[in-house]
Amino acid sequence: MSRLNQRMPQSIAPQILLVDDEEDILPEYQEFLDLQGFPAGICSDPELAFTMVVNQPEIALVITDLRMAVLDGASLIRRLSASLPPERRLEFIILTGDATSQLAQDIAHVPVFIKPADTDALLAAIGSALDRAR
Amino acid sequence: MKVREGPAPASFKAGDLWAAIALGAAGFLCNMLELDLGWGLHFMFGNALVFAFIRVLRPRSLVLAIAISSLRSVFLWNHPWAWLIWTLEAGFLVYFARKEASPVRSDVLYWLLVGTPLLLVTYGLVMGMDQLSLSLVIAKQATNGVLNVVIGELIYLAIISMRRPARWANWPRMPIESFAMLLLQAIILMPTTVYLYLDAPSREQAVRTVVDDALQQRLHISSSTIGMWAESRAAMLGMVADKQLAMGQTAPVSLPEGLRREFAAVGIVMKDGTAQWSDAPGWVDKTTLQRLASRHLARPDGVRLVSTGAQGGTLQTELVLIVPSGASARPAAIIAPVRPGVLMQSLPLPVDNPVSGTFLVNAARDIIPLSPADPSVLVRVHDMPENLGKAALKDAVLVSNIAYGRALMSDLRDAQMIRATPVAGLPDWQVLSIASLAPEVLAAREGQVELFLALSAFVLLVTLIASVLSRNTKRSLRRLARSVADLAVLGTQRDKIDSLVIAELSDISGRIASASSMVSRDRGALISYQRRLDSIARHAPILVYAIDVQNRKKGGLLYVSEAIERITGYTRDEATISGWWGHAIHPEDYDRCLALFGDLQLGKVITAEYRLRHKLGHYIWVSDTLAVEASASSDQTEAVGVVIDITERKAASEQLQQADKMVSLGRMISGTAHELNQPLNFIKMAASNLRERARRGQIDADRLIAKLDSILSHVTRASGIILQMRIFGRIPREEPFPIEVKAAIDQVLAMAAPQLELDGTLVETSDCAPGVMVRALPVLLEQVLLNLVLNANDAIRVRRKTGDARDGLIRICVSKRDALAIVTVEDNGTGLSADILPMIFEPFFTTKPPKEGTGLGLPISYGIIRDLGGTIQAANIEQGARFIIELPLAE
Repeated sequence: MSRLNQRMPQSIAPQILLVDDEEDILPEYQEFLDLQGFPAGICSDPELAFTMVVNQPEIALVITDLRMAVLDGASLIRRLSASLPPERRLEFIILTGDATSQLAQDIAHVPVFIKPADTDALLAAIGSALDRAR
Repeated sequence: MKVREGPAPASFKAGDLWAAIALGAAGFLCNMLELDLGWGLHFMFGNALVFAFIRVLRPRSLVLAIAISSLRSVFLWNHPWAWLIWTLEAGFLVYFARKEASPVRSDVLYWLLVGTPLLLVTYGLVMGMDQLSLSLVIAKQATNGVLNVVIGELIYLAIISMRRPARWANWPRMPIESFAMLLLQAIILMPTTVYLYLDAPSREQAVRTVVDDALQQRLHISSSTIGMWAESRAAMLGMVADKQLAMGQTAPVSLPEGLRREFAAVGIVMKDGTAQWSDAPGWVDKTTLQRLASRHLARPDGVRLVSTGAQGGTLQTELVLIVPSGASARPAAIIAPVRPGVLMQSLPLPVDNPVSGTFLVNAARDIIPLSPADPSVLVRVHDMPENLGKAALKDAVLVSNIAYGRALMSDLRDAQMIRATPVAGLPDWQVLSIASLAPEVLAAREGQVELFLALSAFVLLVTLIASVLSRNTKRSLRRLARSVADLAVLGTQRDKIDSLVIAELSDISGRIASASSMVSRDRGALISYQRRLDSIARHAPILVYAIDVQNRKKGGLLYVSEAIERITGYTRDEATISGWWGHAIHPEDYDRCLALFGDLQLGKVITAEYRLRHKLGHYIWVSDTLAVEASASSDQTEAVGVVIDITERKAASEQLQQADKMVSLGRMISGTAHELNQPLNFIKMAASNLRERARRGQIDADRLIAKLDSILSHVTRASGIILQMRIFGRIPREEPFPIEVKAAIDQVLAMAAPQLELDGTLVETSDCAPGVMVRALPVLLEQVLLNLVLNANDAIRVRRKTGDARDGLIRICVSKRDALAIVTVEDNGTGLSADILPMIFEPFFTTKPPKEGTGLGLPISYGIIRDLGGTIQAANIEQGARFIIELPLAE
């Protein structure tokens, strides 16, 4: 995980943060978003991701997995929603491998993509989310 | 008991007619040998001879025979009524005999309903018989009739018992009710009749003696009185004569006053023939008297009482007392005519005596009444034959005006007895007394009537009792016959039971009837039980066998049920060949079975499931339960076994196990899907990125290879997951072998991990001792463990859903104790409520909503563990539930 932190490009201020506790997949996501013109940060630790979002106001969109060992995606969304100042707009997209879970009522508005996700739809959702965040 | 019917004569054959006539004639002759029961009462038994053939003669023939036989009564009694009534009796009997009723009972009925009214009309109204005699006749005729039928039945019984001549042997048997009736009536009637016959002469003699005694007494008094009278009067007359002679010949003869009352006159006859007379009434003919006296002078001894013959058309005879003098005396004789009625006055009147008249008679039939007598009696004495008079001197003689031949029955009322005795001193004369028998006869007859009425009442009573008794006997015997017929092994046939056997049987039937009915009931129950068993043995897919046990080893096959052919295809004979079982058993099961059946201890029950080769070549699964027990017949040990074809059950059980595994897999589907989605997601992203780079021409070989390697590793990961599922999902075919329990647990957790992770359930396996081996098929043991783990996870999920947010924890421990491996699976879920705890291993019991569980998981786990020789139990612990599996350790 420390390796991942080091690799995280601090200079470019990416507007998107990808959170997934499966480390293998993160670079692929990052590469995919890069290729599509969306520079994104990646983080495999939800706790760390929380700190990163709080500390980096330029992050406008968090794409997160739901099922993660330390802190699940739903909790992360709730904590971020609760912690950020009201003037900060932050959008969420859920990308999960679990097709059976139902979203809790309070985060029901968050778009959900089931892995393996339809890439075009995902890109469209990212684009509209970033538009809303601006 | 209804005994076999004889062939009834089909038509009136000529031979039959002649037989009837001959039989009637024989009966007629027998009727001449009547039994005298005293005072004109006769029993006749000729008809019995005819009645004996009531079952074999045609009705018309029988009536004809009786009509001939009964003709004797017409000759005997001079009236046709007895003949008519007896012939009707025969008609009545044959009519009812055809209906197989007891002839004796029918006859009793006849006399009660027909005979008695007919006798009342004919004897009573037509012949005018007095009431007493009529009662006696009715009772006697009825008794005689019934007795005839009884004797006839006895004769018939004797004939069919002798079975000779041979062609009579198939005459109809006597029904038992007839037999019982016959026996009872014979017991009542025959001794009574014999007693009456033996007793009658003494009864009659008693009556005669009573009358005779009275007669003799009367005669004695009369004769001595008359004798004394003659003697004393002779002496008194002599004195008169002496006085006259002393007074001289010319003096008139005077009669003293005392003598004048008795004698009308007195004449003294001299030796010279002259006579001196006293005053005499005009009717005294002196000349005749003198001539009469001279006749007696030649016989000078004794007094003479001489009759002068009847006077004036009356039977009143004139008497003269002639007293001859001694030879020396001058008067030759004294003549004294007796006044009428003098002798009667000299006799005392009879008191309380049956004697109705006493007379002085002489050889010339002169009759002088010595007592006031009825003129008819006088006539009877007058008309009495001479020989009877002579006989009366010796004995009392019966006189009667017999009207109907020897029908003394009605005439004895008028019968009288006569007895005579000579008078002392008057040699020409006899005293004769006559007495009526009627009072004595009537007294005797009243006794007879009472006796016969009592007898008739007995006959009626016995008829009633015998009817009831024979009905009961018949019923018992019918039961008995049924039992006897049932015991067909003895070869007994109903028609072989002849009437004598019936008689014996009827004696003992009372005692054995209940026993036989009980035996027949028990036997019936046994037979039906046996049939049921046979049917079960034939139709049920159960093979029953028995084997000899020697030295605790399987010996020869003693018995095997027919079902063996249906189950194994082999016949019983083929299965009996030594070593068949060892050859038919599946090679893989052979050693196990040999070990199981190797030690056949008394009282041991062994159950094994193994495969047998069917005759057609395929294998069948059987469950063999063998119980070792002591042999019932000897002190040997034998074993009885039941083999059930469980091939289908095995298949069904396998299918169920399979279904259960599929359910387990289904229960992990979301976890598995997530698990598969991860590599797929990676592959998709990586491939998508590669495509994008290729499109932009940014392909760098090293980077490409690295990426493809990543893709391949994820493909491997996904196929690993699928392989695991496939291994778990396939149907195991191999034999159990030693495996490590820990390895199975790891495998299960690997499979379940995605789902457990998904549900946030933690698993603790730190207490799993390594190296604990059990003999099992990995897949089956894993199925059990997976089931338990998933159940635990479900229980935790349910608990968490209810708001208890504590982390879920499943603890799995493996340990050894004695020769057992102990595996426990604990959770901190909801636990098991007390009411469902006893049912959780029952099939189809589930706490899950429909579609989520089959309810077969735990029962199948139970079956798998049981098949491995272990146990599985459930219990509640402080936090949740605990399942404990115990399995034998593998060597």
